[in-house]
Amino acid sequence: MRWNERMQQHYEEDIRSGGPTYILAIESSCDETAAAVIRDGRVIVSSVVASQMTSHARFGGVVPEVASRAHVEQISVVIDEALVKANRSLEEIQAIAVTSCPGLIGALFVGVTAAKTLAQVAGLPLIGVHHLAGHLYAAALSDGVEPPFLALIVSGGHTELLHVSVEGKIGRLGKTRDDAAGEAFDKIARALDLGYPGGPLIERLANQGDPHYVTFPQAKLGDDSLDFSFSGLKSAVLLHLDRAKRAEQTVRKADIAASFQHAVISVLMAKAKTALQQTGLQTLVVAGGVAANAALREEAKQLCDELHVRLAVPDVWLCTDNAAMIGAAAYVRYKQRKFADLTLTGQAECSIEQW
Amino acid sequence: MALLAIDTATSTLALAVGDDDGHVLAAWSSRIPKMHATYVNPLIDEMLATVGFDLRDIKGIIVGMGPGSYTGIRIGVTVAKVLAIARGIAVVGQSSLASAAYALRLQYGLVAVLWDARRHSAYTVAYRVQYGAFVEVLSEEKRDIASFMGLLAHEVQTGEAVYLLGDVAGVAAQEYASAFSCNPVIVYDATASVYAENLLSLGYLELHKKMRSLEVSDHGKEAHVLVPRYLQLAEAEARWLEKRRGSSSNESD
Repeated sequence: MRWNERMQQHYEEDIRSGGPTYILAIESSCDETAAAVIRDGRVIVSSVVASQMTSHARFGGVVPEVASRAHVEQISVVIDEALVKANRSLEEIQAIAVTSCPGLIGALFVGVTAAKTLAQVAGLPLIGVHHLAGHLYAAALSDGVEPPFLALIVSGGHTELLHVSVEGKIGRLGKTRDDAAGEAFDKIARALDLGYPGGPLIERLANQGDPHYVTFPQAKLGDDSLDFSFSGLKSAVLLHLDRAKRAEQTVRKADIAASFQHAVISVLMAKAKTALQQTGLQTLVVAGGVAANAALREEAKQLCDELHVRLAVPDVWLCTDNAAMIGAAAYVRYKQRKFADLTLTGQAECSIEQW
Repeated sequence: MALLAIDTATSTLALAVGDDDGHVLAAWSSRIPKMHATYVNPLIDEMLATVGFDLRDIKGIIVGMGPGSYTGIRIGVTVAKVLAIARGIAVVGQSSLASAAYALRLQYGLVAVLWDARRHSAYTVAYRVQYGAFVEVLSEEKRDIASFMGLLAHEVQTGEAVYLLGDVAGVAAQEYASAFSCNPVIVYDATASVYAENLLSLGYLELHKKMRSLEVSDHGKEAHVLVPRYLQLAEAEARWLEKRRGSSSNESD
């Protein structure tokens, strides 16, 4: 029987039975190969992440071809493990979800092809998920937060301010015009000879430093723009390091790390504050890999207390890439019957508003 | 019950479905470069429906492991791995290059495959084919086109036919014509292509053996360790190794 017919039959049956919905989700957009089983978009039944971080560390960043090679080696393993840990067979799953964009194209192909094959063999609906929507719904997994809310997504690839409406429609209020915040962390960590990935290394060092040692400039983008820019800040830090080196001063790494981190967080908070005031939204979600940063979480809490707004952040382990968040985001689509067909493919770039 | 053969290593997307005995029931190929990720699943759906099957009927898979396009190979290998673990069925990986050469298994002479690997190099292999016997004379390797043609000229016997296949076969035939002045040289296929019916014939025996010998519970599990045959390191990896080798030799100095 054709996939399309089997898939629709399964969907009708599931809706009629009114039983719980288990989604098997896959994520392979960057350097983590991940699979998870999620119940009703809220309960993590299992979540498996095979990280390639140690492999990429020697290159100082993610190398796309190396990532894709690792994905194809890990993909069937993580899927198998996610099902075993969930104690479910593929026949006891109601839908397959996968990150289809944005990300490294070769890496996405592996996850998307795996998801299509699973959907096809089991006759299940297929749901393509925008990676950033996944990060948004990570907060729903940890905290149960429901739209509407303002979301600040900060990771190695993205820095965005999003407005999520009651119906789950996503509008973009601001984005980075150059580097993502996490990317800036990586670059500064490299300049300070700390290693990779930069986020946790800078955070650890910054804990021992003085955030007011240097006042690094924060980009002014004119008018009331909610966009971000981190390349000027990055240059300022590099310039500072260069000057210190030429003057043969000892580089106060901890103080510089703390000052840099402070500058990044200040600008993130300033824009989030403006966006909250402009939109009147009562909830702020902070998500993405950089949301694991304790100083950012603390500052966000202070901002929300000050504005009497509710703050929702994912548990730290759900901030970095994982498949559980993809399953959570997919559940909304499942309810709305918004399915992909077997021609679903990976895309390097795509707008969250179009999702 | 049916067997599935898939190859996505080249710009040809090649699919075949065979019966228990490895006889072809349907074989599809389409040459739409860089669209394999989009079309491999819907075309499998379509092809199987044509012969009255769906993926649940597949009991064994033969997949082309490359060499070829890195991104391309991974698509077919991913389908095979995931299908194998989802259904607990046997999977066999076969060389895509060998499958291309296998199209000429009933000819008589030398069969050489040259697929562009950039920078004057190619993924190469050569077989001597006689009365249906298929004997490897130059193993599968990435080589300079010049050195491969030299090796081939050394290998060829007087008057022996030379069949060339691949997207750089035409250029190589022209450029090295003088080395083969006593041989008929036939450019059999001037594209880098695998046809899945050949993949099915080449891999059938091994798959059949595996399907019979493995404990049913072990079927599928082996799929986890299937790794594409890239024949070269990722560029960043090669540079990293070189740098490390460089620095360690400095240390020993």
